[in-house]
Amino acid sequence: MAKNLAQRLNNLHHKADWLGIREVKETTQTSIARNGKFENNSTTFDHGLMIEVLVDGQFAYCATDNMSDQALQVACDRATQLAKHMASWKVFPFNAHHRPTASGRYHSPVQHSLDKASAGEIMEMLVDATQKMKVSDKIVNRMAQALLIDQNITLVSSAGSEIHQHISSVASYLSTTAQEGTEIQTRTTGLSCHQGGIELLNRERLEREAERIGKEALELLNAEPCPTGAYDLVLAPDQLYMQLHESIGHPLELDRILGDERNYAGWSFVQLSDFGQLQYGSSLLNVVFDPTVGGEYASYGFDDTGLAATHQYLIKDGVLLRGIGGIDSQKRSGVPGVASTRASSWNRPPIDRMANINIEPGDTSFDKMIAGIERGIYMTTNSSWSIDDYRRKFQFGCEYAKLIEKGKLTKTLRNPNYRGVTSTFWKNLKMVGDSSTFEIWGSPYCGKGEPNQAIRVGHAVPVCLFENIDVFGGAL
Amino acid sequence: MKNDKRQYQKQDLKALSTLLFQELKADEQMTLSYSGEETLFVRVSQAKVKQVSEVSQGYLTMSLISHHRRTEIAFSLKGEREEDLKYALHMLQKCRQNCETLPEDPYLVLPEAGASSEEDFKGKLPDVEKLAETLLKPAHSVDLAGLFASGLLMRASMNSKGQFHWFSTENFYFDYSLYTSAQKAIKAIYAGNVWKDEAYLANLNQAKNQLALFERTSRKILPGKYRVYFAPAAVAEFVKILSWSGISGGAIMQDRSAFKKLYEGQAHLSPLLSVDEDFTQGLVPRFNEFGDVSALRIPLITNGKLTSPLINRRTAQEYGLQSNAANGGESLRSPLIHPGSLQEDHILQNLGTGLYVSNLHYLNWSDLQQGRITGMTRYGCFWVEKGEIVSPIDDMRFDETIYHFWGEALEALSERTELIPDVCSYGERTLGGVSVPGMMVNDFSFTL
Repeated sequence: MAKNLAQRLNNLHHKADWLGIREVKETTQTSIARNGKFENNSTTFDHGLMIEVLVDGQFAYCATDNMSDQALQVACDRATQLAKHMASWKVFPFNAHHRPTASGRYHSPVQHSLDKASAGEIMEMLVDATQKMKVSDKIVNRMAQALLIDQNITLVSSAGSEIHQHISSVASYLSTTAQEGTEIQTRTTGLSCHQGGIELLNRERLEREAERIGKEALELLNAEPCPTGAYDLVLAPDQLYMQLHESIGHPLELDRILGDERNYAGWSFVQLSDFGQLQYGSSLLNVVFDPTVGGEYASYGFDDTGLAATHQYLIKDGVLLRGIGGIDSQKRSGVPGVASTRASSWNRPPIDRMANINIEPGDTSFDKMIAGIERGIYMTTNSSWSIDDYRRKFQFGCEYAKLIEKGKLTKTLRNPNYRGVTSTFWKNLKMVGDSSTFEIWGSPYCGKGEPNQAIRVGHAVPVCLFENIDVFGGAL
Repeated sequence: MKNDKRQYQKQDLKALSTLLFQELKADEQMTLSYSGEETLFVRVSQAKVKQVSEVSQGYLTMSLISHHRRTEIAFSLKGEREEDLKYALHMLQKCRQNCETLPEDPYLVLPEAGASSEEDFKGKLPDVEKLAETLLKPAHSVDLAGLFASGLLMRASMNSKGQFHWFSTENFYFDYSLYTSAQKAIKAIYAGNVWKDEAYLANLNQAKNQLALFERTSRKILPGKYRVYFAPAAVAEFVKILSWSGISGGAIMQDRSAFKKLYEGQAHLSPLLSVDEDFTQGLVPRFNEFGDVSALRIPLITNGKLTSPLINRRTAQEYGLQSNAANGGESLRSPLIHPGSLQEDHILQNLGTGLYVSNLHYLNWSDLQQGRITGMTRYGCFWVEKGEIVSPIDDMRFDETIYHFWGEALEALSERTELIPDVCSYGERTLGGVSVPGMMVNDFSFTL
């Protein structure tokens, strides 16, 4: 595909200072079972091209799903025209050096391709998982979902770039609701997201998880409400990844700091002058941008400008070092960034996005962490999230919690929530779990940008302990 | 670009669907839905052009029912009739292969024969050649961020029983915000079908004038309960979240809705509150992806009581309910809150001492069963004393239940509804908007 696209680019008539074509071919299969029955099976075959031109210092884009040579030329001419119309009002004078020349390939680690399982085989697995959730008559609703995505991205440019990336991923989600009288509790597995092949949709794991969440939903019906007050708070990876995403990932995006996102996703409390200076969290906090982790949801070899992706520290020993921003934002801001200019698909221009943003594991085992807590709360699985447009004041809810008393996990707690302010929260990080607590999570639905773009992100984190956090229950 | 998608207006889509339906076997039925657009996007930051892009796209979603089994495949239409037909036939084969392996669908929504419809709304969109100058020259003295979008939007639904529904509209919006040097902001939008330079200038000048209020020193508000006036754009955020685990009939029946208590009569809302799905403005198509056509008005909440949640035919079948032609996700498409009696000129006087909240941000259910929502204030929000604006405020987090602020704490709704256009553009541009008045609420809880 790459060679053909490069030839097609060379055949275009244009007067751009730089020209790129990004072709995206993506198949997305969604399968849902509910209460032991078929609920939905849908597949999307999406295929299109985005032309990017640089004219008079202005980048402009034109996207089409018509793959003919004529349509490609029309798109190229239109993008050139748009760039000329807007060039007098450009936010920054870009030049051809702002698009690297690169060649390479990336492939997700796939054992068995996604098409090795039929729609019926996948549905059967999900139907069976919902049956396993039915551990009691008090279980009133059960749902199982799988999301399979196969994506091919080809990027070529007039400077000779030629990049091909094949990304294969599987996400799964199980949810069960229990009811007794007026009390209703929902327990889920969280959305499990990884790159890989159909081997990730493992029947034994799904059924084991289905039974676990069924039992835990029942347990929550009779659990005490989460208490209110300042507590030591231990966050499991399936909650901590959301905390990382919202209160470190987004505020470090350079386009937010530059003000590009103010009208939609928001700004950031981080200033350009903070890089290299700001003590973002305690000295135990080490955050990396790492699109090279095998199997993590947002791994890749190159971003959508052709910049090679490498492991980089964003925060080291608690100090802010680097932003999440690609070439354009790095040039505009003068701040070091990463290879993170990404588009959600062929029909959107690339912007600064998270990819894999991870917290490095520390050296404390889970048992040792709990043993050191006199009175605290352990929360798992995100259920609610909200944060302001500067990424300061947040509130999160979880599905399931345990009280920690005198170094031991004791009572189960329902409707656990906590809230706080970003800068204080990360400075209250007191222990970081070791590699045995380290888990890979992610999301297919990180929303941002104008026009809006939902993109896949990965987050790998250990269990962490935070002290003196404002915790509360959800009931009135 | 324009020629490509216009080929697929009505006649081409009719021809494609007719040929596809002819290919169906005796025991097969099919519904097709189409969504396409040609859109110009201009992204603005610091009153300069950050990015400009144009997109031409069209997707056909094919839902095949065969032997009580159902599968759905969506794919891009290229705008080349023969090539698209060939690809669509290939997709039909894939649908058949999937159906052979899938279990039966217990709640099939079968295509129905019925009346067809066609609606086209023409627009007058601004000239792209001078667009940047038109948008940005009058804004030269202020820091402006936003998104301009304009173009053609198309939706269609067809089925093998002969129904054909078509809707198209040409429209635009410039959704923007202005900023002071102290990073305080005012939000505005200019939207419609017919662009008028003078109307845009008036819109921009009004926003600029409001920005002057933010030159005053910002005030930090302590957590607690406050009397609050929510302007229509803020009320719209509360309405939007109802599409997510709120007004859906399926969500209520499956115990995953904040309206469960309302549905079962364990809780009630204020008699001042009435909410409809209102299609009379013609902003969105009345047909859904199943080809069902909604009534012009669907009362959802009447004087505080749940008249009917949104129910599609699938939910209706599963739970023995009456469908009101809701879409697949049972989400709001054209909601309206009935206005009240609070005179617009007297809002500040009526508020007395409290908070004027113009916008909200990042709402989420914090306790779904109790109908509790958390979120943030955003943009132009003020502290008001004795009916006078005193100062802008630092953003506050709230955590409050709908059964309180739309219940006993709801004191009044303003006398006029305002249309807040939907500017969502994930994957494609969304149609329509939310029509709401402002609302005066007592004892609203701010927590951080």
